[in-house]
Amino acid sequence: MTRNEIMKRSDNKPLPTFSHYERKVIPLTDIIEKENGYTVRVDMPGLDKESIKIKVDGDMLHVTGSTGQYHDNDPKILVREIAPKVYEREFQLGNEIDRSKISGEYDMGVLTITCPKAEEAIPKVIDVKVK
Amino acid sequence: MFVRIKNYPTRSPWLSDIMDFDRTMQNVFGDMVDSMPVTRHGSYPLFDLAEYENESVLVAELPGVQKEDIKISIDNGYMSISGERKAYDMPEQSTWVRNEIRTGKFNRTIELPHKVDSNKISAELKNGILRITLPKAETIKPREIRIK
Repeated sequence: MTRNEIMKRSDNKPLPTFSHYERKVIPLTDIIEKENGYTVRVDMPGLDKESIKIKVDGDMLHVTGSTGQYHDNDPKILVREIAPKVYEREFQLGNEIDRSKISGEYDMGVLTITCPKAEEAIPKVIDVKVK
Repeated sequence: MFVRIKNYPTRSPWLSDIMDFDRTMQNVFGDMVDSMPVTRHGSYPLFDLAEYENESVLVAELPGVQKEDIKISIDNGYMSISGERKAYDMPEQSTWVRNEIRTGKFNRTIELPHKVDSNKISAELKNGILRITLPKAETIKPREIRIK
């Protein structure tokens, strides 16, 4: 008798298992500072573009996305390492970032968020003429 | 930009032993410990293997990897997934604030759960998820035999 058979309900429907619950995951992140802004790269494989939410709330940049199920029709799982998950991570924004110009792009399972610095925060090089 | 750090996986020599133990626990207790966080460790990529009536489907996480940089090969009941996640270009005059994403070569070999019709294997890469369909070989498919 297998584990699944032991765990059958009297009405023969399968019992809900832990694998049906999504778990929260903090995605791996790269942050690069450039002269004119920051690039934030977040590893979030398995999302639809529509399920990704990037929210700016005051000083916080909040990123979240949910993968949904990886398999259809309730198969027999032989190896389980990547259960469905909700990615969630927060970043604190510095004052120099122009909140209104933050943009995101999702490609190959990686979310790239561009956070440009405000014009006045970018150091300018000015040539001063000498008379 | 200041980044809030929550508990973060680190890589250390003994961590992989713990992960092996974790996997053993998972084999013993199955879904009971399924909610334990499985983090990045020696084995990469992480994958799920699901068995259906006529095929098995392997689902692996490979974010940031190009289709051209993945190689799948099957040999004598084992399948290996190898390739490389290319490092990102650093723009001029830029500095790292945080670097958690690992790039470079990977290689993982998996024992196939059954005989596979190797001519009909198909693979798809979408949104950083690699999905390999492994059709069962005709000889092992369940078959009903009619009595004459």
